[in-house]
Amino acid sequence: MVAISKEDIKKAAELSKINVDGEDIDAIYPNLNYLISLIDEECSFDNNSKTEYITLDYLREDNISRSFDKNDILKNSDKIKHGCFTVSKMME
Amino acid sequence: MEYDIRIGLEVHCELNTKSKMFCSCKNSFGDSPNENCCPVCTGLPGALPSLNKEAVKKAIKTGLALNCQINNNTYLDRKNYFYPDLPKAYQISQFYEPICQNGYLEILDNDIIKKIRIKEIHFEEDAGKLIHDRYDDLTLIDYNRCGVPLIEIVTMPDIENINQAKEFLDGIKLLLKYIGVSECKMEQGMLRCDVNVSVMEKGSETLGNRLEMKNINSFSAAIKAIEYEAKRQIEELRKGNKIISQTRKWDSINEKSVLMRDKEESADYRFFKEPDIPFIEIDDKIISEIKREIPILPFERFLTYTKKYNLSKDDAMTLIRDKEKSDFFDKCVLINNNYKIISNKIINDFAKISPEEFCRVIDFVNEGRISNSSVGKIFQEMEKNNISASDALDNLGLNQINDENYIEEIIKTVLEENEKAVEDFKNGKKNAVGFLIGQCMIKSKGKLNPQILNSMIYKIIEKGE
Amino acid sequence: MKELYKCKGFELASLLKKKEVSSKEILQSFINQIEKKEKFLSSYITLDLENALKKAEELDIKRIKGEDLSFLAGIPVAVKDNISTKGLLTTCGSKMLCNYIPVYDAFAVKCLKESEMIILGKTNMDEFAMGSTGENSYFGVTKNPRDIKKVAGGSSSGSAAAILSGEAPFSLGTDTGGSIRLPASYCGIVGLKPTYGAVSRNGLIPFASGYDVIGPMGRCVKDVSLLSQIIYKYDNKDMTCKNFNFDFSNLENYSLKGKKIAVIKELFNSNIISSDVLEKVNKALKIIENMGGIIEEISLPEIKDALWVYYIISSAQASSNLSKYDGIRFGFHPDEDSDIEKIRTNAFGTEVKRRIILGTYILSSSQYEKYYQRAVNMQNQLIEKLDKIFDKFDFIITPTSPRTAHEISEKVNNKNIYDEDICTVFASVTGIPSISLPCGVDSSDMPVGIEISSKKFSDHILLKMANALEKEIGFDNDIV
Repeated sequence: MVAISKEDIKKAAELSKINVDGEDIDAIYPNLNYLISLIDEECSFDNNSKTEYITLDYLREDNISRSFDKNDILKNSDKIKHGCFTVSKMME
Repeated sequence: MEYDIRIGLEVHCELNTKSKMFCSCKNSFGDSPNENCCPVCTGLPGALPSLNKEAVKKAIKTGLALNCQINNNTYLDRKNYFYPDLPKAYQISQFYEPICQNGYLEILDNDIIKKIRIKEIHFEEDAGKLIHDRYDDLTLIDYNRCGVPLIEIVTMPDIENINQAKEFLDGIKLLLKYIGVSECKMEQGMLRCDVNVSVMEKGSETLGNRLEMKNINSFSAAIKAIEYEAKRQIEELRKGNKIISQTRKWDSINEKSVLMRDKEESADYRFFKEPDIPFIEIDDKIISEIKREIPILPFERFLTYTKKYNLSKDDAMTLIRDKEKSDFFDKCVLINNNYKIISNKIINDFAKISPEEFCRVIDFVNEGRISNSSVGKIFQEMEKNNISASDALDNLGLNQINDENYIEEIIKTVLEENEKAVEDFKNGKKNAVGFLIGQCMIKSKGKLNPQILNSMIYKIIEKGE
Repeated sequence: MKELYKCKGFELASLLKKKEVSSKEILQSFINQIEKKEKFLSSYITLDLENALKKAEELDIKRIKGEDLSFLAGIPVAVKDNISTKGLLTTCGSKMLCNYIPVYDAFAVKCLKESEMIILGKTNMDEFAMGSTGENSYFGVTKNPRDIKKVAGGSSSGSAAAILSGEAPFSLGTDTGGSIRLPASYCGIVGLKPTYGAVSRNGLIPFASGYDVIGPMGRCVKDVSLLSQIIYKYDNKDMTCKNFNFDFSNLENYSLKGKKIAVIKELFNSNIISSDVLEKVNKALKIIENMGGIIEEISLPEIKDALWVYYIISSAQASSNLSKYDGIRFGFHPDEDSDIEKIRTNAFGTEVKRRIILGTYILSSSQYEKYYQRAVNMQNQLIEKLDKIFDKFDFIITPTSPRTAHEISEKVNNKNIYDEDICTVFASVTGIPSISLPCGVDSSDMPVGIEISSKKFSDHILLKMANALEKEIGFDNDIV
């Protein structure tokens, strides 16, 4: 298995919206590579195992049920304006 | 150097289910912000999706109407990206096993039938709405639309010119309305599309690099975007520049496209199977049931109306655009073969009456019992009082007189009473006949068969010379 | 009569039924114990004692009126802090949710409330359930009540410690890769990881959606069985929840005679498992043989693959599940100017960030096939393998953990953190039910856990077996 490079870690962190500095990367690097090293390269790709399915009968009926008040939904944020959540103005 | 263009379209259509895709919140437009929300569609921790059966059925129906193969085994995937209108930071969509594949829609490019292939149709959830213009420094977020069921119809790059693009978009919109999966109200954002444009040397087999355009809010904007982009790419090629795969944004105010991102650094959506939703098996029995619900579709009707019933293209389209009228027409032509007059009357004088009685009135016109111009009045009488054609005729006293002896008598009386007019006519004043005809009509309370009156009056005047 | 907090759950329920004691008295006994012990242990993040007392009073009145009440009505229970409780702070052990108050109850919590159990509070845990020692909590390390210099195990650290310390008679934990079984083993109590899909995940704040299960923890198998009856209910709002009729009655009515038990050779390897643990687990195996059970050693070399399968898939799913934490609709958001990167970097702990980054890397388009798809394929193979084993055998037995509770902040090399899970992950990736019960102590007097697993949806049978074994082992887990 090709090892994860420090550049890979940096890119993955960016994609996850997490800031990492050199120290962080150095700390993560051995962990991640250890896990990758465990992967069995030999194991086959194909598998014909039976997967479990549900049929359309199990799906939810198309009915409306009003269970939540708007205030409940907004409650956990204190940055509400005009009944809307807010973020800093972004580039459209 | 001449260039060909190839266009692919990705049409997003909001389904008209009562509730959202993954929760029982109301699927509705225009309510006050965050009114129709719950932990599932606002991505609160611990909430789980519950798939809407009707949404899946509508997706299957759309696929069948577009001649697709329905995947008997399907599942959903997570499409991961960060954006404030996406509360879970992933959209539950389909990437690996879309529910429908390999279909087509037929359109007419002038008089040639063209098949636009459908690569796939998949279902997914819509995102929330961002409101940018309320504040300078803040963007507001309304999640009412978040979780509304969407289907995405993806074509192959088969569209070769603007006309085909227009026909496709119109055709798809009409089809979606016909099968009842969406009201297609453009102003409510129920139908949106992304456009892919590539340009190549005329006669070349290889497609140019594909350019994707997003943020297109109406079909007319789509057409403008295609025109602009094709022109821009051709200009670039003529200058000797290459076209690289990119994603561009359509700026509808300035009517131009703007670079969004290079396809090289295209977003990594990290698709993987949605673990909260099991694999779904769709058996052929259900697919057949859904297929039976599909009415005869617009394109097929168009061919039948123009070829079998010889209606003009315009008349055919006018009928077809309104399914109620088209269905009515289909019923009438089984009873009565005056196709042209039937279509004409449906287009101009449609009323809520039965096809049988409708056709009876048409027959009355042909028999000369009533004049063509009375038809509208009769229909309204029938609809208002819920009565048959003959009863309406009686009520309105509209039975037309075809008896030539009777007509001759009226004419003779009128000629006697209006000697001056007869003189004028004999002296070359052709209009005087019109006056005399009018007098006959007044005398008979408008009941004389106009054609018979017309031919007889000339004969009688001449005889009288 | 011994102090109420020292009683097992079913004993308390009997006392209540016989009206020898009131709900309020029971509750007060636990409250006193909490007040005594919490400053040393940090089993809880949030206590809800005022409401608990109100509820106890209400129930006492109902009981006096002669109303028909469920067997566990009026008995206190602690709930792990990644399970949503309406109106009660739910943090997942993280700074990211230090201010989050759910507006709905998890389905399992609804079940507790319907049976009128009394929720004491929310227990401490490794952040977002990632960890196996209880040291990864933003709210402090949970200590092992048996030796407070040692870890309680994780990630359901508080749920396990509270049982052993007499701070709760019942608790709900969650298990993704061993998070109920491992702390149960370290604390010498009983913890059950149900079959995946047997208990609704609605309201469980997810770590790895394909593995997370809510499960019962208690002093003894009987208590765990009683609590199971309350939470094993079908929920059609969770599409991964299955509608299966479990029959938890007749727990005592079970004989091990003739039952075939598989022992996985690779997990009895002295290179992986400490000698103390092996000794005690082997002793328990002898007891099983004396009870008539037929023990057979089998080799399952793929068992080691379960570890990387687990870490690949769980990290991938976690990276996606934890993307919604951006401070917009809920959660930590320090000030107006914070952007999403600042919030996430600040409010997630190290281990969480590590796993998110790993998960993101695994799912990225260039790596997906290499890692994620491969892991899914291997997982399917493991499921098939285990199906075949259960065609022949009734149970699989392994140690719960390679060693017993270690000292807090013990410097372990990176390798070892993940290897703690070697005995528990195979049941997680295959979705089978698995229970840990104490079978002895090691040379430092710390409990050793034995782990029994059976085929999917045989949870009720698993409990019967565990109950029978527990009796014979006779482990004393009196409140410390």
